[in-house]
Amino acid sequence: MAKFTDDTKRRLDALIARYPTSKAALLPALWVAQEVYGGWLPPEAMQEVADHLGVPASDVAGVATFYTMYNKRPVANHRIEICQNVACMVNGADELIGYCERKLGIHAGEMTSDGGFSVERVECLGACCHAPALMVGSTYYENATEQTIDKLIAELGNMPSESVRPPQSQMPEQGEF
Amino acid sequence: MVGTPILTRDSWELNIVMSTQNGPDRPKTAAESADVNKVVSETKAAQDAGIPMVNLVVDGKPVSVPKGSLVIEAAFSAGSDIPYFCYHPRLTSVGACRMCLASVELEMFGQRRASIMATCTIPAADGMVVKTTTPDVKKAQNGVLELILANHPLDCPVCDRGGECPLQNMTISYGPPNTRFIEDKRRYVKALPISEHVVLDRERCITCMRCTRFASEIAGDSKLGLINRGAQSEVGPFLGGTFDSNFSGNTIEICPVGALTSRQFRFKGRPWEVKSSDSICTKCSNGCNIAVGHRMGEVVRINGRVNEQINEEWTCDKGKFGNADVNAPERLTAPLIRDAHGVLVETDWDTALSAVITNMQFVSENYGANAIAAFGTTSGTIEDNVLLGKLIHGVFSSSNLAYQLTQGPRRLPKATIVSVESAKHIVIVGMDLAYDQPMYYLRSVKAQRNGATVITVKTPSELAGANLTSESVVLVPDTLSASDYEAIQAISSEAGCDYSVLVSDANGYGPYLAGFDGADARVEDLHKGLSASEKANEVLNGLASGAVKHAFVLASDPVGTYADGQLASKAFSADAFVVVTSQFMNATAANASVVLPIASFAETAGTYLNVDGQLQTVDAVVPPRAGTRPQWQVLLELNARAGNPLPVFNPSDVLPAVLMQGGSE
Amino acid sequence: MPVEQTQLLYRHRDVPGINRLDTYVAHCGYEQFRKAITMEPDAIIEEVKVSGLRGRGGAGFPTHIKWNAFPKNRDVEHYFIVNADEGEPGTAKDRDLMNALPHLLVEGCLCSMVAVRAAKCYIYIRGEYVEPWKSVQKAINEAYAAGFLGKNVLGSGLDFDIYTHLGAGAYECGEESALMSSLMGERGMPRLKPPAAPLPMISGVWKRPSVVNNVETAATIPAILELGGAKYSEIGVGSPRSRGTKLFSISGHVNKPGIYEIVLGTPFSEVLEIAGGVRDGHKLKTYIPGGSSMGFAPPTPLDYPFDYEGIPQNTQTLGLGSGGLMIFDETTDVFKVTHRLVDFYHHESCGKCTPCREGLDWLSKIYGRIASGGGREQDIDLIWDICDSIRGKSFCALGEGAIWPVMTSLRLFRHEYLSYIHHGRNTYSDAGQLGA
Repeated sequence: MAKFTDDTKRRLDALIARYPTSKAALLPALWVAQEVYGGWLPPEAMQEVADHLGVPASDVAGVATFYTMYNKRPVANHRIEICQNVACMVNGADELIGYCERKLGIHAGEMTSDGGFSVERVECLGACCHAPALMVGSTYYENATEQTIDKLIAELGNMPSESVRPPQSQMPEQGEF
Repeated sequence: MVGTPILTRDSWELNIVMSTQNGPDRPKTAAESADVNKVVSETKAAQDAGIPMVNLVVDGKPVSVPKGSLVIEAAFSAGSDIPYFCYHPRLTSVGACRMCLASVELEMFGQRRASIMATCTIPAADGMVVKTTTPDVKKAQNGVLELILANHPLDCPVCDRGGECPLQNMTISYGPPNTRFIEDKRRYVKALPISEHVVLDRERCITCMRCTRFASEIAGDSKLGLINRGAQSEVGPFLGGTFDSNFSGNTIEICPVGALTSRQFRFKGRPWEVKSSDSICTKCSNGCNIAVGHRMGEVVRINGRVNEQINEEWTCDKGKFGNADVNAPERLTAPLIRDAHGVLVETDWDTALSAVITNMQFVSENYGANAIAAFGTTSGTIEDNVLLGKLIHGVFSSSNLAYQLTQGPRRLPKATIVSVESAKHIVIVGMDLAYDQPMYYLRSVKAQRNGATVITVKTPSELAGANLTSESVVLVPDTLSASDYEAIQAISSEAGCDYSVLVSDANGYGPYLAGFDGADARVEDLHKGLSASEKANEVLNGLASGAVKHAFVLASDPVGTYADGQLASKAFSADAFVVVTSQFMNATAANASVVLPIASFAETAGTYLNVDGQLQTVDAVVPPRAGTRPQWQVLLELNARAGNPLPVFNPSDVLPAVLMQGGSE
Repeated sequence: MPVEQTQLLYRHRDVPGINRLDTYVAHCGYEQFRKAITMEPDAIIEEVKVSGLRGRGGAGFPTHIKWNAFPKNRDVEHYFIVNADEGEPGTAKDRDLMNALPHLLVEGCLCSMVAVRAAKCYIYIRGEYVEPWKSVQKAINEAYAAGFLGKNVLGSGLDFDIYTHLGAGAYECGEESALMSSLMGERGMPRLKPPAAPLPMISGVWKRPSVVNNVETAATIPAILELGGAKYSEIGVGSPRSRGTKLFSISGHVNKPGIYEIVLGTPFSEVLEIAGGVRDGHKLKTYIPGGSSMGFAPPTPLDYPFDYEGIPQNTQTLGLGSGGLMIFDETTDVFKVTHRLVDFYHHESCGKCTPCREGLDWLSKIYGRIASGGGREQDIDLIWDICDSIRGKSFCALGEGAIWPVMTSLRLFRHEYLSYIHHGRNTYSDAGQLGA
């Protein structure tokens, strides 16, 4: 069932207007679709994007599956994404991930049974000088410790979902003055 | 890397087997040979046409190739061999497989130096020095092939591609003799059907992107794409969908491994047991050149064959898979005759043919020559029609030779298949070009990629809104009504452009070329256009009124396909003696007095004139299905029985002066 | 104490509110753009040429050569594209710059757009960088309101538009041609480059003249215009071909990890000191000079000039790269670090070409096997041969970058590999047991 409203389509049209071709708006359009579809991109979402942009659906699927931040399956409300790359690793990222796993009772890559949290290993977040770093939603937490994790889980547990509030919705509109 | 490696080498590297089978004489598949032939012949043609050339040296041999050629193509022209997978002369270069590595010395950023490059991406340039056989090049090719094979399953014994597989061939000639890969290979579901015709095996895929490029660049429908990334990349139709393209079969042929295979051909035989014979597809009017694969007398598959004027090397799925009907159990395998109870029953050929001749003679003697009529065939060969004319007109002197079952003007199209490629504005009226005129469609995709506008309108009246100019190419089917053609004529002549009527049958003008409209039938007259023929209506009215007492219907189905279906039904339910030749039961045959089962296109020989006026002759590929006979033999026998023995021993004896004198081709 | 470093980009880094237009303007912001818009485009390119500026993204290609390759007219639309897809492990400078000094980037883009005759600029920001993205977009909006962007800017008759474009998680998109693919809404796969295809400056995104420059490169332009190319070129204490200052993100086992603006050619030992030196009580084991793709360097020598040319040949690293300096002390398990990097590149390989796709898949499996105790001595030669099959054969630099840490670690720390192979663990990474 189509989920794009007139407002969604207006937003997509505003994005298309930024580029010489409508295909170029594919990445931002998928961000919008991911938001509209509750944090992930089922095939119907890709089809809606394809229809609105006039791009073959197989191209949309190709793009959506190429980029790791487009989720191809439903995600937890709060995704604790911990950088596992070298700078963080030598500063205790693995231990932090282990702590988080034990605390939530899940393995990295899984989500809690209530869908509240997931722990994920991600690649370099560009926070190497403040390692280890992690990201929840679109917020970075640097120089993270076990206390950071404790605090996050305690606070986020009662908060509305971060992950279904992906970046595009927080985006300031392009100025047209 | 600077410095000496500190590692100890194992003996592997020294053991690279330099197969004696590499180089230009290495074993090649038909497709690989076609690639090389295309490149070499284009280079020759360019030389003759005076196109700007660049000069370079490949393996010590100077070679001159048209500007814009790739280094790999220059190597082919020089007679050298470079292994490749993703390169294809009809697709854009991607440089993905990295198999075509060779040493290329060129000047870049003011420096001249040689380095190992993917030759399918580098344009040949003046002064380049290319080496394809140095130890460095061999080692690089060997290394890449080892990587390609790392995750490739060794299921060649049960792979349909085995025996005609570019990957196998390249491995024989350029690959490592053994594998050092001891890890787990990538696993996927084997033999995943992705459409009615195609099965996908992702384990075998080497991600060369030929099929996905074909889908977007040639078929223009992007029905196959690449998903995921890195080592998890896989090809497939849109998530959860099917690969529903009318050109899907081509991806099977261009796949350099056994990742895409044919469901129809699956396990029907090993490729080396399959004989391949040249033929012409008769599923539509385009006349695509095909290679019919047959094993022990049975047609097992259809592949594309090169004809730059028509199908380049492609086929549509209707042609590639539809021709399997030659093996259909529904085929008629014995003559049928109506018995005393009015039921069609099987009989032998002698009985059937005598019944036909006896009735013809009876009708001719009692009701006059014109009480006999015949419908020529637009799907059989010209020779069939010639022999029918000899019988009906020559022996029985009837002038009732009808054939045109459509209302379209009789004129070869101005827009040839090739010319559509360079059109700027293409308007298609009332047909699904991809299915009805597949090769016109593929050229329109090419035109579109070059910037042309392609519009489809449903009805002739919508043509007014299509912004026609004098440059527009208007493509029209032959199935519209007379008033539709008038409307199209009016709108296009106002815009100053022409319109092209595309016939749908394999031999739309065959009866005309056999002299049905009179003796002087010339292809060049078809280019000018003939006046409309009222013959079909005349004959049908004669049948309906009872004036026509004997109708011989040659491989056509007026009841099922005539524009005025009501008239046709009425005509064929009248009391005349009707003879129908056909491979399958159809609406006209169902009411016939005698039905003669005939051979399929692959089992007979003859000549066809395709949609844009190209004459093509083919030979029989397999023997006729038991019980059936080639149409030309049936007609020869009928002529003989009617007292007109002809000195004809095979169809090539048939083509009469009437055709040859008319041929402008 | 290290000598004081000239600060050009980071001069006002710590001024409160410098991310706002009013504060930025109060600190002479947009004055270089006001100057640039009155200059001939070629005059700006000449200043950049004289300055000796080289791309700060990693390749170090002279900026003016790219810019000079543009058509010298505005017959078709030109595009100035900023590469803010910072993803090279160890590199965090662009994020800091965009968070702290968004207007410097906007001004840098504007000056560059004048030089390459572009009316449109796209800033391609990696998907994870939402905060920097918001920061830059806010600055862009303020610049529109202040008349630095929009139609007929400052009465010049020229239009300028800057758009942000958010990626979605693909390291490969930091490669300039893959970035262009991604900007056009395609899979982030690299495109053919010269001699196989025309220069992007002739036919880039949407087949129109385009250039891709790093965030830091663009942000350096105002400083060059302010000082003049000649003056800028006097900054630098090492090679005559490495001029100006550069941002370094120094991470790993140092006392004060952080992002520092450092004059090119400053001795490496001094750079290390700026970051507080190797963490107390530990010794330097190895380091990666410029992002993981550059490979591991031995702990000696340390007194060389840290710039594009200065890194000693015998380190066999690829060089300065993106300025992501990672320091490892003796506790580091180099095999494990390399394994992590191999998995990273394996994860990020786009899959287009065989060597990178299959080679990294294979390497990743071999490292996994060795790490779990299934190593064989011949695996070392095998790893080396696989690297050899990737080196110079992969489509883009990702494959090349992936094998460099592998090859350098094999050279320097072969014994650690052997330790895993023979003992199932690294006996060299414990404190006090220096391997190198």
